Amino acid sequence: MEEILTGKEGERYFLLGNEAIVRGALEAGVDIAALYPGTPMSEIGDAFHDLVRIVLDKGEEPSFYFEWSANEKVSLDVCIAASLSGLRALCPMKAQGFNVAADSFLDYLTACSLVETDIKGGLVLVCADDPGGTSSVNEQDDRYVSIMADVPMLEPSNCQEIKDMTQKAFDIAEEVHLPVLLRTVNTVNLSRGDLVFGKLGVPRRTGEIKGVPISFDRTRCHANIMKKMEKAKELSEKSEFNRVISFNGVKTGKKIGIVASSISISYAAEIVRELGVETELLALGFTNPLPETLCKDFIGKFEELVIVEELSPFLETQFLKMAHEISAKTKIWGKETGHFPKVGQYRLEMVSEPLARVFGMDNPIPRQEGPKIQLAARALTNCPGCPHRNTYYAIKQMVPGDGIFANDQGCYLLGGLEPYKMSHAQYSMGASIGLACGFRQATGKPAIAFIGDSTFFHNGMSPLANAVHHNFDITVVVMDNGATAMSGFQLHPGTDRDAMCREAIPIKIEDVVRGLGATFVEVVNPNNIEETKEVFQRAIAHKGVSVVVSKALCKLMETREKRRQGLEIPAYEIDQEKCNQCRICIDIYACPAFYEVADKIYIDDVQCTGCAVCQEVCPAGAIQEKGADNG
Amino acid sequence: MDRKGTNILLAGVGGLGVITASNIIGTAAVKVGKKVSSAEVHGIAQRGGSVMGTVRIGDYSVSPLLGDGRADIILGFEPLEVLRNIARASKTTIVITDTTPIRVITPTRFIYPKLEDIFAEIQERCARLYKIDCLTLARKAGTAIVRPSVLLGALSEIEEFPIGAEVLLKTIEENVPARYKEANISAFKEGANFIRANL
Repeated sequence: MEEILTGKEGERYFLLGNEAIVRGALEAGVDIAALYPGTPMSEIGDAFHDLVRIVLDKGEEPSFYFEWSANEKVSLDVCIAASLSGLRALCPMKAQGFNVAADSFLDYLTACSLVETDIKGGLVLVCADDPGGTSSVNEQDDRYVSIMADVPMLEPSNCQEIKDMTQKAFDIAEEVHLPVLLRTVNTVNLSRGDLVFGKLGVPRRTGEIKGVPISFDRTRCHANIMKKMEKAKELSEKSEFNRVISFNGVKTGKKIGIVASSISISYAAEIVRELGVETELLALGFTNPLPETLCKDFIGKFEELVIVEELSPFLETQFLKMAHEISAKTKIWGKETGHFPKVGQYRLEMVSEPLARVFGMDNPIPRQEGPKIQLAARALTNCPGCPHRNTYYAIKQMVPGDGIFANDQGCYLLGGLEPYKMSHAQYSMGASIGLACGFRQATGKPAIAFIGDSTFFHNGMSPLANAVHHNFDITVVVMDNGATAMSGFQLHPGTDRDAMCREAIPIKIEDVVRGLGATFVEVVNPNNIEETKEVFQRAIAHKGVSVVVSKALCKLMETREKRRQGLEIPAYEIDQEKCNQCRICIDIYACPAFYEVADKIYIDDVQCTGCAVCQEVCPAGAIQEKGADNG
Repeated sequence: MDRKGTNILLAGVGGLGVITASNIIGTAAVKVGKKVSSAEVHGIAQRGGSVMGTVRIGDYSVSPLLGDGRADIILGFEPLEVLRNIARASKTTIVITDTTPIRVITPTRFIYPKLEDIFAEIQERCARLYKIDCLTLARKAGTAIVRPSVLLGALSEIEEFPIGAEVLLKTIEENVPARYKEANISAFKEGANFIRANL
């Protein structure tokens, strides 16, 4: 990690894409970085945070300010202010995080589009998309943000480019006087690769803001943005990130070219090498505005073009338009012709088959047969020892059968899956509380909202104010595990340190909730199941908003800390004599440390975290401590 | 120029060290002047879900993902997960796998197949299969946590692996917490000895 800061110009390192973004920002002399974590870009923040620690340990001061912001809108506002003050600011967010920040982003563009309030310090937004939606609620394609907002966009295809483009994005932002969107995809953020470092930049450190004139002349502001985008087009036209790569090989009958962006560039290049055909690949990295002259010249050279891009036909639509404008007869193969899917994260095989088909060759990477033995997917479930499981286990026994559950974004959303199935809806940060109000109003049934600690600070407070003010008869369960756990245990406003390793004021959720006017507020440790059940019984019976803060540290964090301190983690086993096969532990409580062989249930001592809550769950008293385990 | 390069696939479940091992192999490859692309594919759960990693080492840049049939070496952290990724293997693939199953069946009543059936099918789809009881060897080396180093030690003895054992071990030493350094070194040696004894 340290090399991100100490690595010298010309040296080669092996970094995660997200870490390469941090190096790129440091090479640009970034002054301020702020973000709310989210897969696939959380490691950008983790790297900044680690660098702060490393620098402070050496007795030095960090050259930048970094914060874990309460949400993406806050992080963007902090960065916009830095930019207006003449400093360079980096604001990364996941695709859905942009939706939270969009309010500020789209509105601020109008505010900063006067000559007097032009961007002084480069502002770079990283929008990390998640094709396949493995860690997100949808496959949102944030490339369209660049068109909606009218901002320049860069799209890296590998680790070297992700660093180079981050660094360059700040220069472009200052040259064009617009923020720059660095749009990445999961495969680029989360891939590692070798890259050569450039020189570290020199931060400006202190900004200055003069009076900001306000204009209500919206059309003049809009026109100014258009003018700036004309300048951006000139930069795109001569950008080194847009280039034609030639491949030598077998001549095919027709002249066929390929256009690709982002990670698809590396897939297309690899498959062309496998096919061994002579062709040209237009690799686009500066993708808004597109380099129109370069693109049109490229279209004109070929009888057929294949467009390779993940998700929506963003490039394809624009290429069809450009081909039309130059009256080209070029056939364009892509998503609209059914060659490539519009959904899902691409894999080599998904690009290989259609590319080979267009070139009239055999598919070089045909699909291979999977295993003959039926292998079920490993079920998504909370970790062994997770306090969220205990909260769900307790409340499930207390809630009436017609109860309606609104869930939220965090590890606890897994409570919506088997066997707890406690989610009738979950989609965006903080939505659970408003949903519970709506469900209560719409159905008259008991409604319960589940929300995490970090999510509560992110976007849970306004809906709670709404619920209290309208005196909705709902129960809100804040599942407080002491961190933004799902994205990697990041800090939030409830923790006693901040990203700069300074003492921070830890905000207690129960205090916030009382401050918002809730009268039923209880804090309970979910690892004590009987006590938790009793609290839920009263909370559900309460008329009006009841809030239960179910508070226990994330088990992964606790286990790590125990290991660090060299503490022993006790192991447990099932006394097969006492076990009466009631299956509560494995089917209803469903901790993944249990497994079954020939109708007998055992505890996997590598998985088990020694929390011992299952002892309380087992009615036969068959679970006992095995003695200390050093693993 | 080595046009083909070496493709390594690592298969396991969250928490077993797939990502750590990928990083160590990649870092070592950069040390010996190779180009590397590496990817990790996993779900949203922190622990217990299937995890697949790739490390592609060669003389020119390639995509981080691996096509079907293109794994030269598969490093298995869990036997069933090796089988899950078997489409990436070919008749020339070398498989080194930990024999310790993660039998988690909750909450879907997923019954773990018989280990001998899993190994038989892997064997059928690859050139060579090395089965190592990494958990036992890691505990012998000091602690179960150092299981990845047993596999890395084994990997270092495979002729097709393009990085020397000394570089790989040095990279491990530089990248593990100081309190586990000795155990990692011992585990690495256990893994290497296993392959030497079973070549």
